[in-house]
Amino acid sequence: MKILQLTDLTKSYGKIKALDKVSFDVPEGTIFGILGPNGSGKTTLLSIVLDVLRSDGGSFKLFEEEPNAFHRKRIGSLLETPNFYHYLSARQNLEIAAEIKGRGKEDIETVLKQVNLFDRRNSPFSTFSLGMKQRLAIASALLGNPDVLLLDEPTNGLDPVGISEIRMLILDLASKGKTIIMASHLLDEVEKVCTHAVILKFGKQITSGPVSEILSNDDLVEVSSNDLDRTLSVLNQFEGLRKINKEGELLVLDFPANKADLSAINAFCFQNGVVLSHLQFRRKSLETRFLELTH
Amino acid sequence: MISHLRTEWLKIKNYRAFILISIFFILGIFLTNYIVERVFREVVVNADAGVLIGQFNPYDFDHVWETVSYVSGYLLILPALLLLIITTNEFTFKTSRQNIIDGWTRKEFIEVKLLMALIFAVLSTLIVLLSGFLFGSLSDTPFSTKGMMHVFYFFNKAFMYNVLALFISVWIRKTGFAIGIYFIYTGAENIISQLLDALSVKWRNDEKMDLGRLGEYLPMNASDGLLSFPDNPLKSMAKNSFPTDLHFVEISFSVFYLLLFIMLTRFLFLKRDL
Repeated sequence: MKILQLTDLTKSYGKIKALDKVSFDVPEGTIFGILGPNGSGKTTLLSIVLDVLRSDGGSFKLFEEEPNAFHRKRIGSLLETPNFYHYLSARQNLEIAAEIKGRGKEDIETVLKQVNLFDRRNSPFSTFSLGMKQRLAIASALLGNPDVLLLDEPTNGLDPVGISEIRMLILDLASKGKTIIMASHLLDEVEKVCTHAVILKFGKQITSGPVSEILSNDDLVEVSSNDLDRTLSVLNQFEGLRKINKEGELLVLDFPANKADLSAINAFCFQNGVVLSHLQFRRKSLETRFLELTH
Repeated sequence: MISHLRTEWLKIKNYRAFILISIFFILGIFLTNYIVERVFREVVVNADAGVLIGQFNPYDFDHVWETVSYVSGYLLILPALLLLIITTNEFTFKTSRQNIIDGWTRKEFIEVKLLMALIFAVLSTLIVLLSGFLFGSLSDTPFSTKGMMHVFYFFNKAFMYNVLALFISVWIRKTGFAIGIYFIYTGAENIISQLLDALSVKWRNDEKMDLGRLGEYLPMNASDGLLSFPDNPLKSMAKNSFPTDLHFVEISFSVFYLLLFIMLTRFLFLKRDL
């Protein structure tokens, strides 16, 4: 089943297009990352899905049906910032969330323990640190053991231990068959947990699909010789090569993942009268790939 | 709706401003009426005016409902402010968003708030009924329901004040700013109302055209104007020069404004981004 299906979703703030015809599907049981730099439209997209913002065009479906409030009750959500009543305690705030979701209160202790806030359950929300507020928001999303979690920058404001705990929690929930939709600008986070992702930039969809495909670490090969121009024209004939970039005295050859064969390149150049003075593998970092896609 | 009301109760039951304002309001109603009653007994009756007023007691059962409704009406700004603070808090804390994210529809969110405006008005009215009964009993006069319509007018005023507060909250969203607008609006409406009243007195006396008190056809004054201090010899003397109080017209305006602001509040909340 498809948990979420977007079709040409569009939203503008005045002249600025926050979302420009974004379309993708989130299959059940995946950890789906929505990736993009600040201001790329991630939160706008999730806000529309949660009926906080109105879209200007396009449509979306939840659980393969027209979206309604009952669907939102089945989704545990954390949007942008943790939103709670400042004068109420962690526990009292979760009681309100549970009442709205139509869930019993029996879950409250469990979720507070899950995010390590049980000891502070009676402290007012206003006394919480940013990290604690974030953990309370995650606890609220976990109320009622929902099958789908929708988390916007879930590790925002957390310390390294907190980040690791939340990562483990997400992986644990995913292993129990839950679908997790997660927006993030942290590549590392997405690479470590997500199975699928979409990349947005200025509201436009750059690419989407399984993470292994999108963020594949392409093979890069550096070559150099005493006649770069000739080398370039020779290598342009080389089969399987995606593109060639010139970086100073180096040519950087871009191959699909696991397709670069150094000895074949060497032999091909030699046969065409080019003697290479430098030939080396360069792994493309995830960051490079991301910057390439979003810049 | 029971679950929605339970949720609203969870939101406010531990809120200090709710507890304090409620106490001020309840004590305020009894204290204000007590002070007016004492002033009448000790001061007015013994002063020169006492000759005219004679044995008139605004708190005997024949007048108590009218008096208590009129006097208590001045305190209705308190529940309205409370509702305004509770509602603008939802925008400040962004819990208006969170409630929707957690599974309420926008319609449910705004309708339960309108219901709260109604409940605050009903509770205020119950307190007025109780204080009317108490002060009437203390007057040693036989029980009477004469003038009890004024308790309904009180309810109408309470509901109007609350709905207006709700409308301003949903429109302005920022607590301090919304309180400011509420007071500025109240002040401005009163000034315009005085001017319109002066105009209607002029029309009545110069043009012999009696359209009632025009100032009472504005939103807050329409519900204010229905409440009055009981007729007494002093008041009756001044009354002749005023235009007729067209109660039916005032009630119609009042109901019209209530419905208008309820619809505007709903429309505004359903239409805007959260």
